[in-house]
Amino acid sequence: MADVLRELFDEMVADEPPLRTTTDSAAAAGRRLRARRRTLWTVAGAAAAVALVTAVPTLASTGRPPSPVGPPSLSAPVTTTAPATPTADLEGQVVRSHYCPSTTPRAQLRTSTSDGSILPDVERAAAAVMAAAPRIAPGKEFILRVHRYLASTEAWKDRPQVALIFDVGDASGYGFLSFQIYTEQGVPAPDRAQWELDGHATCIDVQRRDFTDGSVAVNESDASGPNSTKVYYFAARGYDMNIDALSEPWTTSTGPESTPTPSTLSPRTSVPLTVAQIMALADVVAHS
Amino acid sequence: MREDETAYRDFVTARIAHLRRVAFLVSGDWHTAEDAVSTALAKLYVAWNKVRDRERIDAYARTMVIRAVLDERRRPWRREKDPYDDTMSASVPDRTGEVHDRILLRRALEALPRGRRAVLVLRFYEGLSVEETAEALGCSTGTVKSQTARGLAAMRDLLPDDYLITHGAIDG
Repeated sequence: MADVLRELFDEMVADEPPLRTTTDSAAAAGRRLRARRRTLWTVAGAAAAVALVTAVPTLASTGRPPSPVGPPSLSAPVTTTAPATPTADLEGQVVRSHYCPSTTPRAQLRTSTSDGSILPDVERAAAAVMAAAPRIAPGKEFILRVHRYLASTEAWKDRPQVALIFDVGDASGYGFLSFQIYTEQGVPAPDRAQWELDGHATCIDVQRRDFTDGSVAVNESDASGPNSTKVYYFAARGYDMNIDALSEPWTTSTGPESTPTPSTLSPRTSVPLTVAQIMALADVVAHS
Repeated sequence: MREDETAYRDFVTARIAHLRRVAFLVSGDWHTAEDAVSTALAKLYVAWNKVRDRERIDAYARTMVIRAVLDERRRPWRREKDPYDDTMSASVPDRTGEVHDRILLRRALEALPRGRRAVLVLRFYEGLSVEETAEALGCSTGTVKSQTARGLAAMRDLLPDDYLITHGAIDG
């Protein structure tokens, strides 16, 4: 079997496409990364110092954190500052488990991916998130950065997607919330969720919420880290959402754009939203 | 400083194509492979001065690439893509029997979880020992052994007997 595998591997790489990455572009990317890390350390250090200086007197006098400071205006961002109202019991609707994937080989997921008409309307979806933000994530400021329908991209040719990206933050800094929404028709949402969960080699911790309409949201421990949280939302209507919340504000290097533009916002030390909040916001998008 | 830059460039020129092949075999997708190699090489540039044992730079880079592939699903705007889409099928020359075998094999490999696929690629494409594979993936030798056994068993289960007999993987 080992010989068969070696032959297979050699055959698989025989038709390799031309390299896009060059020695020059690799070195340039390395230089950018080094500069970005230096900037991040500087910005994070300055933000921590400012937060300490401003938060301590404010907390001492009012007992409440200071109001979020808005970012410089970009291309007419939609902003809302949520009031500090009590959070609904979102956490209690998420079920936590330790999941061990099936040992039987995973079959191919045979879905139809070309019908973009079933995807959420970008305007309505963006507006719905902004409207629901005060209820779902009180105290957080949401700034709409991207709401676009993409009929085709370089990586996913002729595969329609909806992009929704928000900066989300408060006095502790800003992270971003990104929705990549794409059609997956022909397989029920719970089966698509199961397929995702069975794509692991080892047992994982899972947070899951089953919605009344048959949609399913999952968070897998191996796909998240201290500064990022990933949630998949499998909509009953036949599309999936690949949702990420990160502790850094959005730049154009992440998402459908390819030219990096640094954010003017300060990063955070943690993700701005909980798994339960992300799942609730995904459901808002699905029903917008 | 300039010597380091030259050494980095020499390394990238010599090894980038091979690293991308390794990334492709683990991910099953050339786009993902290229992205993972770009990410890993940028990190390698930043860490270049810290790698004291230059003879191990290849292993270090390979580990970064594999981990970039396995971490790919953490990134926004990425998700595993079916590598057997129409685009890839269309690029395969029309040699009916060979193509059929090749598709069967690829599908069997694709059905494995990425972590298990990484173990098989490192063991049987890169020719690493159990210990070297464990070091590259940051896991125990026991995990490598069990993942290798399960991966090979799963491949056998997915392939028809006549294919395995023809290729000498089992007795006819």
